Amino acid sequence: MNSCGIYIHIPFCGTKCFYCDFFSRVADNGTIEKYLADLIKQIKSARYENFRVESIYIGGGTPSLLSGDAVPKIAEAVNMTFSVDPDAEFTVEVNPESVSVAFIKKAMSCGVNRVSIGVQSFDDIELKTLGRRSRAAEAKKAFSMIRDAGITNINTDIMLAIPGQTESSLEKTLCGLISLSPEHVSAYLLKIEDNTVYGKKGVQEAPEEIQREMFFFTSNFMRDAGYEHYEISSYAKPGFRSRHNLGYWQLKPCFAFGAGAHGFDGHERYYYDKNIGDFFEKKTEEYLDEKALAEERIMLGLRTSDGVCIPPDKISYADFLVKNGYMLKIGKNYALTDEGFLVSNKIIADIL
Amino acid sequence: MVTDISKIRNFSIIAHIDHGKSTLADRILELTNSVQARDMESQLLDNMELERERGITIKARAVKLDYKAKDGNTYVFNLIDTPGHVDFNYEVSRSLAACEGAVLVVDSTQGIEAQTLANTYLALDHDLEILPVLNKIDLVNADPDRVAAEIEDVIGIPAEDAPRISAKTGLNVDLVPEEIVKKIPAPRGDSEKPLKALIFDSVYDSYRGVIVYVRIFDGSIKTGDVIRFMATGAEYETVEIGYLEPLGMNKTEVLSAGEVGYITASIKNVKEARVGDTVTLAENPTDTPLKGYKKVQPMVFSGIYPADGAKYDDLREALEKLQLNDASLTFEPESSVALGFGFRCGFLGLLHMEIIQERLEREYNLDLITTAPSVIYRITKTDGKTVYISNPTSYPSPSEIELAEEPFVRADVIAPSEYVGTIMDLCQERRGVFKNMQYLDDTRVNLHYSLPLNEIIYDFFDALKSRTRGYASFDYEFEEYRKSDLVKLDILLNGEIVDALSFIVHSERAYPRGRKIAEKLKENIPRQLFEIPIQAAIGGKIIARETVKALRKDVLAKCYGGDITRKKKLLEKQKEGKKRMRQVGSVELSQEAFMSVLKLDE
Repeated sequence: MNSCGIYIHIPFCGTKCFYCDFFSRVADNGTIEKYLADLIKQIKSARYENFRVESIYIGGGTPSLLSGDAVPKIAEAVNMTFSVDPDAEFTVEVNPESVSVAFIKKAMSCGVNRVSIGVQSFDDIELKTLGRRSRAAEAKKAFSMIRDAGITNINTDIMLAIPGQTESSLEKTLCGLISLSPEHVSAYLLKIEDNTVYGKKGVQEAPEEIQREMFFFTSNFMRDAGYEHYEISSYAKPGFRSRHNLGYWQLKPCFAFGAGAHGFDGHERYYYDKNIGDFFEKKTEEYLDEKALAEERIMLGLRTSDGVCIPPDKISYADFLVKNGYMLKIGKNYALTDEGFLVSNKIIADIL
Repeated sequence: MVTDISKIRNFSIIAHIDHGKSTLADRILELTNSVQARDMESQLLDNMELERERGITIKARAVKLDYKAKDGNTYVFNLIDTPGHVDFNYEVSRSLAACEGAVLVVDSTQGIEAQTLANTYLALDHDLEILPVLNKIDLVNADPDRVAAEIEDVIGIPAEDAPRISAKTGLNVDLVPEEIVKKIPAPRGDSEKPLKALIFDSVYDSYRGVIVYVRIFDGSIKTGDVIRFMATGAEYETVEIGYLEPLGMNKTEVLSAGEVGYITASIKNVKEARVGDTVTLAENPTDTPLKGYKKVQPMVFSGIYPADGAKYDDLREALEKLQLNDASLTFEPESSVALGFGFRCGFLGLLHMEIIQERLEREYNLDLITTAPSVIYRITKTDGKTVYISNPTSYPSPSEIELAEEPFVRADVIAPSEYVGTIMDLCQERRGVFKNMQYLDDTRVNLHYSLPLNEIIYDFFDALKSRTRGYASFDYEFEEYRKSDLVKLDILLNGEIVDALSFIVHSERAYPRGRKIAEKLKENIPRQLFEIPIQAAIGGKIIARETVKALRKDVLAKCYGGDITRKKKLLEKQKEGKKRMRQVGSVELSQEAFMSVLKLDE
């Protein structure tokens, strides 16, 4: 039996944040109920033999907008269709303003053991700048509530190089996080895409040097606080790396459900249309032959601190990068340093 | 059926780009009912895809048409189309030599342009009867009276009665063939004399071998005759002869004096049947070939390299195939430290070079890197030897040079008089020597200059067009070699000379040019992990310096499900771009970077 992950997409939000280019929209309850019914039908009709599910991830959008029964229904459908490992990592994404104790308790009752909270910042001005609905105090409260409910594996998303962010405001956010002691932190450099509110307003990303400083500051801060910087944007306490996310970077199959969701069966990358009313038809994005798989293994493996095996003809380049501080040699593998992470697009392009 | 020689009219059409040559040719084809409407692809004569796109004729063409004139007789028209660019001047002269007359089409909203003038003079040199036609009279801004006066003043031929037509709408077009019948003389020639036929074009066909386009001056030829090419001495037995008709080649038994047609004889390479050569019969040869044969010499040289070094053999094969059809293209292997193995290619001019590059890329699917074009410098060394240098890398060191000379051209620039100042500035910047200026009419002038060829092969025409908003036209011909103060300018990246970027320049122009190139390269070299110094140097002396800053941040923060394919597509695109990149030492150079150094007038 091969291990796999399951990704379920909930494309609904209370409002759209200024930086967000994920597929999500504001919708009424009727639409959401109908979507949920379709989603469960889609999961139940899936036929993937010989896979054991090691991680489930309900993302969005804002899954915590769903009613309390929604997650158990989804979990039931997954359990009916797949063989789910009893120790599977089961994550639900939530937003501070919409999550409730009841939602968390019901989720836990059906196996959810990891919660990811969209914090972004503990600075209210920055939150406002980002178009977030919640404020810092609300996020802290939500965190404690989730912890008190019994979730022992919590991720918080934060953002670096927010317009107006300074090293001291970033430090404030990081200190706030450490005091809450999440098991996992995802810290993303803000990227402004064209099809976002920011993009349309012509908001500019922070200058490169500022982005670098924020990245290094975060990395050093988190390491000092006992976290492993195990992927470009991911930090975890020992033993709490996200199995689901690692699955993407290790090319594990991950079956996806829901409108706009992208899945991978080990060879084929596929997706469903971004159409809330009709997302049943599976569409092939691409089929990966051995060569493409090998390339993706390098492209994705270089995102992680474990690194990858470098093809023989690129070893001299890799050694050159080691000598100049962009890479480290770890056993047989080569992995990027923080400096390397920052220019990883270029390095990956050179190695492929 | 042998045509009565008195009923033959051999002519070509001279016109500036966009003045309506192809449209008029199409109309004449229609009037002679030669082509059914449904068979007509617009502008039938230009049948190479590239030609249609660029609106120019690269190769000469010929077509035989039957025209029933108002006098009741049927005439044979041989319309010989000519290339429309200065690079192909010699081909034009041979096409004109095959005719007795030329229809001069002038846009009555514009007037005479430099190219038209040059070709008209060429036609007058060959004693052709010139038949002016004023086109585009349907346009509101047409001024046929002014343009007719201009033709009379400048060329000195009567134009008062010139047909005033619109090839586009068909208005008065029927006057043109009548004029051709009346004014253009029938060919003279004696079918009983030994064969004398002029090659005005030859094309390679993979099934038949070379198809030789000829005009018979004396004698006649039939299938099976053994022919001799007088310049090359090659002899072949003719396989087929015939006429070039609108819908293709039409076999015939015999071609006689005055006629135009084709010959095939299983000839493997156009070099054997060069444009301008005389064809005669081996058995009963003529004593004297037709005048005017010369082997055309390339004027502009450039290194062509496969972007992917492994495609070297493919490039050689492609060049060999193109050469089958283009005797003026030369190439020989060369190697560059920066670019590896490639070829130094010789072209008639810049357009010819662009066409060859484009054909290599399109028809042979090759990605190329080309170096800056160079002219041929004549260097007399201190040991008394004279060398011709077409590759800057082989330029001798200053201590070995006794005398350096560069080619100058005689140039005509025709433009509205308000641009005189602008044009003079441009020519001055390009080290031009003003000769004189001639008013064509109240508003238009012809400026005569001597210009160094190396100043016009880069971007002169583009600069001229943009500074005169497209109103100026330009033509040139080789004048002479002149003593010049030349230096070799080297470009260093990361402290190392990139041989493929070296070029030869006049010493006065070296500083600004070096600075500009360094700036251009800075814009065109992608940032890399390390800072890259760019330097321009003469000998050991650095005259300009720029720096490409190191890449500081290029990272994808999120990479989950759907991001992966997106990221990979981005990488694929980068890889595609990289195919066209060359690793020069530790620096990646794109084709754009190589070419950016050419376009400095922006």
